Amino acid sequence: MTYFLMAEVALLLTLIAAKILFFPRLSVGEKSLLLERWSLNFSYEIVNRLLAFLVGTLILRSISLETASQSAIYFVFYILLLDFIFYWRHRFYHRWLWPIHQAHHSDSGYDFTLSLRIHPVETLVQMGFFVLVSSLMNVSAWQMFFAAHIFTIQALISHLEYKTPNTALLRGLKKIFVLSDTHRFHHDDKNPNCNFGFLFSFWDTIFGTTAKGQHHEST
Amino acid sequence: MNPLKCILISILFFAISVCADSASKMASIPSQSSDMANIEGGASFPAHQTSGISATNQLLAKAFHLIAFADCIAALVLFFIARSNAKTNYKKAKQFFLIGLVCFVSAILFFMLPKLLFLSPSFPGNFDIRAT
Repeated sequence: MTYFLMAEVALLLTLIAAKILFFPRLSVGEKSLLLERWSLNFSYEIVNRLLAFLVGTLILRSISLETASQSAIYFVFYILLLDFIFYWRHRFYHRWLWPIHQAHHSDSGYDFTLSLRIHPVETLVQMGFFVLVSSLMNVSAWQMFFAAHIFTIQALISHLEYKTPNTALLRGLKKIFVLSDTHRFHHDDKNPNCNFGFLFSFWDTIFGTTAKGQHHEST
Repeated sequence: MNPLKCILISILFFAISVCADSASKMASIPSQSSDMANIEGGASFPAHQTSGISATNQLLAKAFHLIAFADCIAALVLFFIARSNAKTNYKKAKQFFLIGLVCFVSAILFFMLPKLLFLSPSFPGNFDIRAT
């Protein structure tokens, strides 16, 4: 589990380093805006991590996860189910719990730190879903942590400000996974209520919430 | 969210966790002394009977976690100062932000290191419970 966390932290630190290297090229106004945004986004991250660690420890002590199956297919099904729930949870937030989710959409810029800008209540709800699904599916603590890190890394990747190259492979991948280009549409004020997918983009295709301009942009 | 609220919430959760931690330990482990250590010729510190982690290493791990928590609080305060100065005093904001970032990174390190060092079965003073 420590190694998953290390991979996640390594990615986060690499992204921070990449942005800091690019930092001297920005104007003073852009720099101060970035400092303002990052200070708040990292504060959210610290509070959410502390919350996740402390509440997670308390939950794991009180429940016992009995492993039903260690097979890869079962794990893929577990991820699919989690992502399906996250898709509807996201739609629910936009429809009914906007004041909580607004924290994530209120950032004036767009980069990977946006994935850290999550309201603590949302973190608790997310953890609740995670524990509920994991208990119902009887997955091991190891699989639960692995899934949690997959979703955290995906959140960082989907909020990258860099445009993905327009290759056939990436166009194909976009039909299955949520990439930064796809998720950017979700944060665009011109396209409200679209691209709710977290890990898999086909939920949007199935439920008809794909952004209208997305196909024109990708071709 | 107001950073002051963030700090207060994190302190509250930390206090709850520490209380829950000590309460559950009091209930589950009646004595920290290990008979096994005495039989084997006396390790200087008793080992935890169920995990094989020596008491010294557990204490060190806890100390590292406390440092990580202190780093988190320091980073939150520094980020708050950086944020409030970002528009008026850019140089000061940059300094505070960078120190805050260092605290953030060190918090991650201090949180992860005990797992790799003190809480590892191969670390001096510990023994692998699976081998017994």
